This record gives sequence, structure tokens and C-alpha cells, in this order.
Amino acid sequence: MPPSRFNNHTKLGVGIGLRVPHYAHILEKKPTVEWFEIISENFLCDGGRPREVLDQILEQYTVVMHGVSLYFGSPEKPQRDHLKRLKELVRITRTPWLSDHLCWGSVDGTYSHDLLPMPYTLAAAKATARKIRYVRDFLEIPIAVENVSSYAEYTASSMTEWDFLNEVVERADCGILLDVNNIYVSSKNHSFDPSHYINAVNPERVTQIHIAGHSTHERFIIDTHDRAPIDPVWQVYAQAISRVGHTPTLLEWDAKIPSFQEVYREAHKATRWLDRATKSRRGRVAA
Amino acid sequence: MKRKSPAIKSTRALKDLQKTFFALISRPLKPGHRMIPSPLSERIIAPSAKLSPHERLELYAQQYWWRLTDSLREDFPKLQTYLGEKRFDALLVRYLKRNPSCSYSLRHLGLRMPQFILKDRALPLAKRNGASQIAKIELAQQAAFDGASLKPLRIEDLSAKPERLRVTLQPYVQILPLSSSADSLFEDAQEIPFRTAASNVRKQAKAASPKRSAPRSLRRGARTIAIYRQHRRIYVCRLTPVEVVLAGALREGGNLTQIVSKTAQVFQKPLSPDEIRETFGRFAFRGWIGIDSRKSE
Repeated sequence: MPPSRFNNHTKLGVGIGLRVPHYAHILEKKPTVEWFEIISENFLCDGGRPREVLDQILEQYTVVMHGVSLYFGSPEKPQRDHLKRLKELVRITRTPWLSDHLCWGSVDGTYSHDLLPMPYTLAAAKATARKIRYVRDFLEIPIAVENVSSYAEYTASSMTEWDFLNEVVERADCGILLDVNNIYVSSKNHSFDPSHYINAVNPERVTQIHIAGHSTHERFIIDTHDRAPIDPVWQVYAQAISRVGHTPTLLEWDAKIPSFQEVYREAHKATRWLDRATKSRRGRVAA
Repeated sequence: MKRKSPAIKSTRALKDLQKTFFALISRPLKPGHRMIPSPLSERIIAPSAKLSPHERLELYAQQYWWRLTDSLREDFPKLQTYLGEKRFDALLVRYLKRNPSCSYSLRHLGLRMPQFILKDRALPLAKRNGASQIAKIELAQQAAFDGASLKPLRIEDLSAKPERLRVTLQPYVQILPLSSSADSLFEDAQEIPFRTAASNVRKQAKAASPKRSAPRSLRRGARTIAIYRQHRRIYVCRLTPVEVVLAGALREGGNLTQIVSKTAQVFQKPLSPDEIRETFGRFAFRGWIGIDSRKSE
């Protein structure tokens, strides 16, 4: 997606998730990385080593904030302390946008710490969009919502996941963090064709793309982020890029994390499709 | 007869559905990590080609328990050693049933553990006090690891108008009064790893823990300890009576004259200038004295 209000008029390429096992390598070697994605909740503390590391990273790199506990699909407002700390982190990192998930995870003040699936109904879409707007107005930063992997579907759902996503982002007027691995995982668990999903998403709202690895079990597959993405997931990515154009892309690797070089190499496989998208756009503009 | 699925046409209906879902997945798992069956599963969850509604929800129930118990295991490794694995695992389930997470951060999940242990009748009475104090120390280590800090006091700061300088105990320094030798289970200096990062990655069932040495028994006896960070390590040290009083005076804050006079007043015994200087020197060396710039002129 070209620079727009959803990505704060920035243009980023391939990013790497900032993870603890890589801290020493990054701080010592200062590898060339276009941007790092941080998990916001890991830096909401008052000080100490986490913030020291972040300060050093910020001296060298662009950082984008990605959260795991705003739970846009839980109707109650986020805790004030949570929002205040996020806002302070937004100020410190100067993140161009902030992303979190299209899911729920808390009810009546009790937190599951999991990304629980939404029922796909109009009322749920309206409630979710309302919360996204509330968070965006508080944080004063563009928001992108990420589609999650899911393992269950509700009897109450009255629309497809992609229709629900479109409904939410149109009503909230926010961006999309399109996770192509999550699309693949859910497509296997719920028996749909991932290309239907990709073709349905509004390309103008896709702010960022996630790609990751998953684990295959006999009767379901699980989003584990503990290995490299498989070829079919890269194919979904290729299809997404050909539809939405050059878009900031991040490889998530959160468990059994290999060396920084290996994550870097794997992430930069995305360059092939990103370059193609850039050339194709240049071609269209020249014509 | 199959009951009708709920229609989600309002925010209230959405919340009701979420409450039902959460109630189902947050019941403690049965042996073998199985979710307790409920007819509600079929009412709210559709089957897939390969999984029943119960099986689909079970994936979330397992995740709920594995994620939360993993987090507590990470927060309380010494408590686990002290109680033994089986007793500790049972404690976690009882704790989470009474104290589900009320915060966006897993870091806050174990905050009520010390108080819970004291009232937990399933634990032997003889173990409760020591276990509670071990839990307190482990929570204090986390607070020392990522607590706020102020600019530390340096000698040169004292050269110009020290009476205008407001100093205080660094916020990350944790002072704990104990009634047992719980601190003896902790090394004097310890590299504390980063917590497992928050992420949306799915957890696996707990692997068998490595064999741990038998827990040491704890002796009774009052003492006060400090837990603090320095050079990327967390230190646990016992405080002398003068240090306890000085730490208390510093926590309240003031200029140096006020702090020395408050220390002497509370200590109720004459303090020699050398004793005060040495104690201040130790605190400053450890980086414990911070300058409260908001209150300094």
C-alpha cells in the first residue's frame, strides 16, 4: 500500500520482530534492518533492562508497536493505566501506527490472555469498531487490526470472517494488519479457500502484513510461530502482495527462535514479491 | 432436543456469549488436559468437518490454563522448589480459580500469591509462612528488575547547596521485612532473565520438570532484606538495623540533613558520624540513592 493515512504516510519494507534472544546480537552488531516490530506489552514497565534495551534500539531503528491485549472485540473499555502506558510508549517510540488483534480476550474485567474468536455478526462488528475508535482517539495514532487464527466458529455467526473484518474496519475507519499465516491456518480449520479472503479484503486499508509458521496436527492446525512459513503460506502472501501492492511485511517467530541471521534471511524472502509489486506499480504509473 | 443457538444482535448479547465461552474454558482441566464437557458447547460453537464443538473449545481451555500456569511457574521458581512440583501445580490451580487475571499484563497475575498462600488451607500450616515469604521475594525480584529509577546521587551532586537537593530511595529498591530465613534460598546475586515475552504464540502442555534438590527447611527469625538491581543483576542482601531505618527515611524523601536527623530520631540510639557516613556510602555505592528532581530546587 502506498503512503496513506493508515500507515501515517510512511513507506517501510521488511521488518523483524524484536525478540529477547536477539537483543545481544542487535545491540552489538547493529545489523541493517529497516524496522523492528515490538510487542507493546513487553515494554509497558516503568524502567529497568527492558526499557534500556528499547532506548538503545530507538537510537538506531524505526520501531512499530504491535499489541496483544487491547481486545477490540471485548465491549468494555480498556483499563486506563493500560492506555496511559501505551500512549507513553507511542510517544517514546514514535511508532507510525499501532496494531492489535480482531478478537476478544476479557470479559467483566477478567482477562484470558488469549486471542479469542469473534462471532461474526453486525452487532459484534459495531461494538468492535466503537472500541477501536475509542482507543484511536485516546492514543492519537492510526490503528490497524489483525485477523487472528481461530479454532472455533460460533453458531451465531451470520457472515464470513472477511465480511466481518471489512465491516469493522469500514465502521472504525482503520487499517488492516493482514496476517497471511492466520488466513491459511483458519482456512484449514474452517474449510475455506484463502484466496476468497484475500480477494475480499479492501486493499487500500492493508497497512501491514504478517507472515509466520504453524504446526500441523492430524485434525487441525495451530498458529505456533515456531518455524519458518511453509510454501503454501508464501503463496497466500504472494497473492496478497499482488492485490495490495508493496506493503510493510513482518515475519513473526516467537518460539524455538533461531539465530538472528536465520530469521533475517527468512523474512527477506518477502523482498522477491515486494520488489515485483514495486516494479509493477512503476510500470503502471509510467504507462 | 437441540437448543437454539443464541442470536448476537446487541452488545449485551455479545457479552453474554463471551461470558459463557469464558466460563467454559476457564474451568480447571480434568486429568489428561481434558475440558469438562458441557451441553453449552454445542449451543454456542459449530462443529467443523473434523472436530466437535467440545473439541474446538477444548483447544482454548487448554491454552487458557497452560498460558496462565506457565506464567506463574516463571514468576515463582523458588516457590516451586520449596513446595515440590505436585503441591505447587495444585496450588496454581487453586490460586487461579480464586484469582483470575484482572490485568492486561501477565506480570500482575501473581501479585496476590503471598496473601493467598497464607490463607490456603490445602497447604500444610508449617509451610505457609515460608512459602508466602518466598513468593514475596520473587515478586520483589520482578519489581527490582523493571521498576522505575531516578538519577543516582553522585559525590559531585553534593558540592553545590546540598540542602536544596531532595533525595529518595530508588523506586526499584525493594525492602522486605521477613520472619523466616526465606532469603537463604536465594543467591546473593542472580542474573534474572527477561520474562517470556508477551505474544500470541500458543503454549504447549508443561514438560516434565528437571529433578530439583530437596527443599531446605526455613528457620524462624526476624530480618529485613533489600532486593535491587545493579549491573544487570538482581541482588538480595540483609540489612543492618541502621540500614533499615535509613532506607525508611530515604523512602520518605527529603534533603540530606532531614534524612540523617530522621534516621537518628527513629533509630533511638546515638549514631556516630562515621556510622552514618559508612551507611550512606554503601547505599550510594549500590546506586540506591536517587535524586528527586521534581522536588529539588
